[in-house]
Amino acid sequence: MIRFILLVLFITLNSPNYSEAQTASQIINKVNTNFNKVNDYTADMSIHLDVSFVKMKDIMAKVYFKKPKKFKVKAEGIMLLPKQNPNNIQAMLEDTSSYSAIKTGTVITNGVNTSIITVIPNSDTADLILGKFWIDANKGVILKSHLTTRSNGNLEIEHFYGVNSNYALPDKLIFTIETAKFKLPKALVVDLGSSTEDSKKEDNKKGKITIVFSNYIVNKGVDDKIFK
Amino acid sequence: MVYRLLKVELNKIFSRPRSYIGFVAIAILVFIFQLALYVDGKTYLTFLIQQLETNFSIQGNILNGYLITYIILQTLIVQMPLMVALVTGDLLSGESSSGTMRLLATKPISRANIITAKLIAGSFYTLLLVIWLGGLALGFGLWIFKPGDLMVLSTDHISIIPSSECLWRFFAACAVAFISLSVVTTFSLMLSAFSDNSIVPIVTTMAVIIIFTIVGTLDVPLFNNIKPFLFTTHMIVWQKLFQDPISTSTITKSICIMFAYIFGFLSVTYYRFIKKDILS
Repeated sequence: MIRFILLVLFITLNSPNYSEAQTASQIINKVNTNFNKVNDYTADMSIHLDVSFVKMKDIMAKVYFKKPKKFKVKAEGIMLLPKQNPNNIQAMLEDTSSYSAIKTGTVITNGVNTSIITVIPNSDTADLILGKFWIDANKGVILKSHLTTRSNGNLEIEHFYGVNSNYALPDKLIFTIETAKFKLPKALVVDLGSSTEDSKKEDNKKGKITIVFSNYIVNKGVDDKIFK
Repeated sequence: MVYRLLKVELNKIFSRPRSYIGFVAIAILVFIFQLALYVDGKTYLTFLIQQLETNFSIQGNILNGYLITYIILQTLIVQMPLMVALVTGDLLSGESSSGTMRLLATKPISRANIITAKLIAGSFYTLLLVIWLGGLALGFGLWIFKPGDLMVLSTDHISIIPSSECLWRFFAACAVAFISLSVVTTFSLMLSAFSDNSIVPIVTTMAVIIIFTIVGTLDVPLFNNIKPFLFTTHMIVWQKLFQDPISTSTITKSICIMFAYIFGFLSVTYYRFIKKDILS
């Protein structure tokens, strides 16, 4: 009997799912611990769009964040932002009861050894269907995310860190999004000069949005009025 | 002498009630557009940008004065040639039909000077129409809706022009629109030189513009080779000023082609009128 119990215990403890789920949780906890150091922050933001059907100059904006989920981006003019803001990922990862995480391997990303953590939400109705994160387990920061969502399809985010990596605050984010072909009826926009040949030229189904953060001010307080 | 003739011509143009139809129509249309967009602009815009919102979160005041002005210009500049032709198509033929041409030709003025004065008067009228449209649309647009970045929606892309760059682009667009309408002015003046009836040059100008616009708009490969030769294709080049980066070569090419048309129409007009046997 003792032998049988020991055998079951040995198999359970050594099964890949058990040990890797533990590791995945630990890695995510490390990311959460880093970000939990942040109560609030403000930063300057420069947004560059590389989307075939959008022609616009870089936008300068200011970003405000306050725990738990207050997030605001302010700019003077019109701004196009990715639907997924970076704090959404952190907020989602913090709620460890809402998903199951599995470590599915390790890989070198941007010269850093990263653990690949796959996250599956427990709820059937969540917008996120599947999340895959490449995490630097030593520093506790996400270097790359791949999200499959119901509302926006696939989304890839590359995270680059600088002096604020201990807060898990990136210096640069590159979003790669799936874009549907942009087409508006000619009569609706009175675009008399266009032709189908013009629109055939650009049919790239992926777009990139690069956000560069600078001048971070962390944990110095942010007025609630800003978020109204 | 041309100056005195010009004064007479301007007096003739502005003493006719017909000349004010364009100004009144523009004022009414601008008012209707502003009112409609003030009341229902957000719904209209939501419909237009819904495709974009599937990919992006859009922030900022999109429904601003510059967008309203752009929508108005885009819609009304297509109709402007008809208003111009209503006056300029009558400049020479009107004299013939009313019997004053013979009287005018007996004065010690060269026929070339008569045409020059009529051309300048017609161009001045066209310029006033453009300023009236641009001024009303921009003035009321900025007053009611306030300035902001301009989101230009085309069939296959969008351009966002920073607010600081909008004003000069609108002035440039009005200047290009004036050149475009000058093609219509000279075309109708040319037809006017061939006719002794006021209605024919006006209606013919309108018909040609409508036909050319429809042919130019139809996305049929058969017409692709014809389109570059239609002056209406180049008349909408002002829209290129609202793209980033501005295609200077395309705009310059179209402006040169329009000047070539103006020169061609004027040459025919001068030749025809100088050689014309004035019988009425």
